[in-house]
Amino acid sequence: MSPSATPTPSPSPRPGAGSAGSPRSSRSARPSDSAAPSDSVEASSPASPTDSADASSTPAVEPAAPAPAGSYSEPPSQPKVGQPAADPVTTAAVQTALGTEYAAVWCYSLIEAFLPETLDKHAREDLTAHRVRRDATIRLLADSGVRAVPAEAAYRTPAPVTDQNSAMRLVVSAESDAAAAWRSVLERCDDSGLRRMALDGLTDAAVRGARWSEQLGSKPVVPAFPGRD
Amino acid sequence: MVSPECALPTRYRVIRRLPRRPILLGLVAAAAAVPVAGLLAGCGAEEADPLAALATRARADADLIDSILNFGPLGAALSTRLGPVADARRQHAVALGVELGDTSPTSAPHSTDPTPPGETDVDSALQRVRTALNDSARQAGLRVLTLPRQRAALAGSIAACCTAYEAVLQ
Repeated sequence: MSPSATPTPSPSPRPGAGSAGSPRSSRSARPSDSAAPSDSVEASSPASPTDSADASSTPAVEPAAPAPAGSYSEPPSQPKVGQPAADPVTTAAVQTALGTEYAAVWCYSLIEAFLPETLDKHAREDLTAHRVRRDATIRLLADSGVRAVPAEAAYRTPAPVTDQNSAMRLVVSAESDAAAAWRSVLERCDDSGLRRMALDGLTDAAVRGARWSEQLGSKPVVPAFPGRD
Repeated sequence: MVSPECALPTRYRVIRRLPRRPILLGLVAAAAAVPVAGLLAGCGAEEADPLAALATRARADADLIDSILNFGPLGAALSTRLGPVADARRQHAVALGVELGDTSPTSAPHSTDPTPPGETDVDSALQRVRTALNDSARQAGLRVLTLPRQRAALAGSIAACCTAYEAVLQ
């Protein structure tokens, strides 16, 4: 995953992207859970969770519409008086991780309609966990004088979501993206407090991904190096 | 369009409140890492390189699982669930060895005595593995805080893997 400050859509449309269900082109200043579409979302090319494995790859769940040029690529920094500016490499990695948290919130909002009640309960818990981490990340950036990137209005899913299994595969991909992004933060920061937060983000994503993978019956349930493969 | 900020229960804002400090500042971090490393050094007998301790622990976990799986009825009942865990821990040992510049064959320092598991029922054996994984995750997680960046990421993935396996072995 690229440590760019803004979630980076692929430069050219992926195959099949043109038939996407209802990608919203408008951008909201705040993530809106209620904006998640409830019908099937057409996919672009199939992608396995490992597609988002290393720090240089594209997340499986991408923004549906490209960000307007330059809109938030250089967030106006307002460091408090007497403070040096935040490390741009670290900040960019945290912004990317925030982008995966937004995407995960969107994905969990989407799949609720496809899950039976027992699984829906777990999905709601996971949705809450991602919202909490999203908000903590926004506060972290704000406390460092950095404006958080906003959520995308919609995301392209790696495969169509039409039933229970495809819904669970979507959140496995979203968790894999989040794990990769938080691992990438570990590779780009030195502060032990931020490392603790990144480790929690990586670990929680691995645990949630493992539970959904187990539900799906996919093997192995846990990758040997979450966030890397 | 309702902002989730408004919808989020207040308690999360309190519980997850991060310390208000410029956490992204690298300079601050470099200074903070020194005393933390000093504290860890006093935690007990550690091998010279912290990664070597993680590698030893990874091999020990794999050996523990092998001993369970080699124990007749337990192996038959648990091989599907525990086999991948042992594989992952062996991969951790190899990756840590590579990072340490260890070029010896991966199977070299293998315990020779097949220690019989202390339990003969599935639940006790699973509990033993979960406990080992929990300890391993904590050990690797502590290292994440102080290691150089790339190694911190490796230790982070190892900690996450152990915690995730512990969670699904319930």
